[in-house]
Amino acid sequence: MDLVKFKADNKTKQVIFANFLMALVSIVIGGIAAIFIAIGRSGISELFSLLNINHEYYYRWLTLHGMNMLIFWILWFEVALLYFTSTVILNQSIHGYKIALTSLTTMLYGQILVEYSILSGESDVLFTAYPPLAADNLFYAGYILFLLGTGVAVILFFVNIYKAKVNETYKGSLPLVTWGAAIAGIIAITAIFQGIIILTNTLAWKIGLISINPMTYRWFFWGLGHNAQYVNVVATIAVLYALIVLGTGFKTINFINERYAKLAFALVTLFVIPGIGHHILVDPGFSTILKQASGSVGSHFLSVPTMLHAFALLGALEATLRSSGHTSLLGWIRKIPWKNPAMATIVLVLISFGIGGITAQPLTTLQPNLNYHNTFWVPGHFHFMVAGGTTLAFMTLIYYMLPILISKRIYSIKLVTIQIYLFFLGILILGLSMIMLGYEGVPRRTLINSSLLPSWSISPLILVGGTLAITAGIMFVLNVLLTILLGKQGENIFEGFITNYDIKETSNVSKKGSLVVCFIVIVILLLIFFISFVRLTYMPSLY
Amino acid sequence: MEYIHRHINPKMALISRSFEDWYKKFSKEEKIWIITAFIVAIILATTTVTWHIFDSKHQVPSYSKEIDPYVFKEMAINFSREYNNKFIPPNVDIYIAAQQYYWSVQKIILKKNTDYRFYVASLDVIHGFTIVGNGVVYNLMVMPGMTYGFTINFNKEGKYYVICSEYCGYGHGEMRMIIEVIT
Repeated sequence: MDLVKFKADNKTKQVIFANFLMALVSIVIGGIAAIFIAIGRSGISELFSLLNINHEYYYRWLTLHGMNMLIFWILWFEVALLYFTSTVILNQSIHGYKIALTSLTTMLYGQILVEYSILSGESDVLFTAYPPLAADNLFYAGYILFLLGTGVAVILFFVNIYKAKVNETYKGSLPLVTWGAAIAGIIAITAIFQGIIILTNTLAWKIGLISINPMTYRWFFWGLGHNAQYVNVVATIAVLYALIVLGTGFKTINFINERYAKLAFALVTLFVIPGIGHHILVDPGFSTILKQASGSVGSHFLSVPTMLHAFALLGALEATLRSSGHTSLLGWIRKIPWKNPAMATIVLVLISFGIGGITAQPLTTLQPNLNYHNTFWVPGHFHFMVAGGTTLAFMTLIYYMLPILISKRIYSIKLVTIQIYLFFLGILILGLSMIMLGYEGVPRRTLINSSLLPSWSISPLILVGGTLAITAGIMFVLNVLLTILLGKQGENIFEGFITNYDIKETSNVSKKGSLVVCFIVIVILLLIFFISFVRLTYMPSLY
Repeated sequence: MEYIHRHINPKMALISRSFEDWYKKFSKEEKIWIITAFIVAIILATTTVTWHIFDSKHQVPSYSKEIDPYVFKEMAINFSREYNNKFIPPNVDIYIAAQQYYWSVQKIILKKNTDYRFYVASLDVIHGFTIVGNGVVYNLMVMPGMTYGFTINFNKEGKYYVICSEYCGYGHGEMRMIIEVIT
């Protein structure tokens, strides 16, 4: 019966499970909002009027989608992940159970306030809520409460690591997953700190106590938004390291150079703060030197750690396959276990991050950004990062985490594999069509008649991609709910989720193939980067 | 985690490894990749910095100045009164105010291959000044209480739209201005 044992008690599991359930609720709300947005942006006005959506509703759905997906779903799951990596993985029960519940309640109240204020129609300000555009007081209050609760959870995570260290619940060094989560935690603190400061100021401004400078808000808000996005990136990569060992029954562990991975994690903390400025590249009021240094140069170095991780993960996958017999330069790619959820996810997430990283270059570079800022290119880029990358990785981790938490088998493994590929396909179509539309100049946050320019005609692809991704999302939620309600307890709860390898060689396995793949990506990245400069020279001069 | 224990070396059960176990030297491939990653970042950073020297005519505008919205409103209204729907002589500065949900001028006519000086500011919330059309896309932010000054020289005749690209309220999608460029 009870094959998966840990020392973590039921209270620990409850806390993780509760946070995880809230993540699930948030992704459902965000997903429902996504349907209306996809219809809105598809440019099919018949469908639009049929559903009686007007501009007011469109921006309301967009606010709801942004808040639920970027803030609630991701942060709830990340809190669950932090608890998981600091208790279950470290072989201990949670310390500060009551504090965890307090944090949970605070976050819950915060979320309810925000959702209520959005749905009541008083806060159609989008997730960035730039003043002087004002939302309802409840919106800011809820936002602050949610961030406060998250902050408490992050601190509790560090306390638990400390307790584990003191009580010696684990041998040797901190596991790589927990290490990555700790880096995410450090960045999260900086993000939450800046977020709470600026939102508190904004609430005070709304009540009428102080005045607020829109430019200051933008700088601090992106201190929250930008850093929080790197929390996501780091958490995603930590999850991928967990998936790569879980999916191969821990066989891959010898092929991950932890020193290399930990160096890459540490580099993120070094480069994350100087990169904030890439959100204000075309704002008045900031000096060109600041924009160049912080926005452009700072952000370029931020791509270094992600590149290192990509090679580490792909290399570990390659080495596993090579050492079990596939020795040609790129022949191992065909032998990737495509039906294994963890392995498939790693490859798909790396592809997503690859496209996201490549499309990020014109955005974060001072001059070409003039052509891409606030166009559809931006959500195209970040859907690859947040949806195709982070969300996909989190979804798959849930398939591995849930059986451990509730000792039940995932209801349908077939649905898992279909869901992963369908979701990726959806995001691929959605993201690529957004990128193409953005290239033509379609604005990201403007519900605009697509007949304005004839080249905007591919908009319906957004609905196609969106529908596929949402369908996959429904499959995910359904499968998880069925697992919780009807999942079978029993032996081999990981059956079908682990591919076993007969490892012959553990040292000095070549990772040449991954290096070749990574170099190809670099060539494409540089090409897109330089093409964006060439494109700029053909534009009317602007200075 | 007993199930997992059966498959692996017990000491790696929780993926925590001893220092000696994980602190490995970088392989040749890893070293190559670290150096490559840094070189790529340096190439990207150097390109954007040196672009200021290579092409000074495609740059983020550096002029911005704090201004009282009422003062700017006056300037924009005066400009609009005189030049709305009309041809703008090359030496005339163009003042455009953004407001929920319109630009202070509906249409201006410019001459091709001629430098025009624009001053843009918002009178209420944040807006986005986006020029689209004829393969051109330019995006700038428009802030309340801050003028953004820039010089544009259109190299192709035709019709360009100015739309608002930063969400400013329900009527946001209706903000439209036309720039017609003639020879």
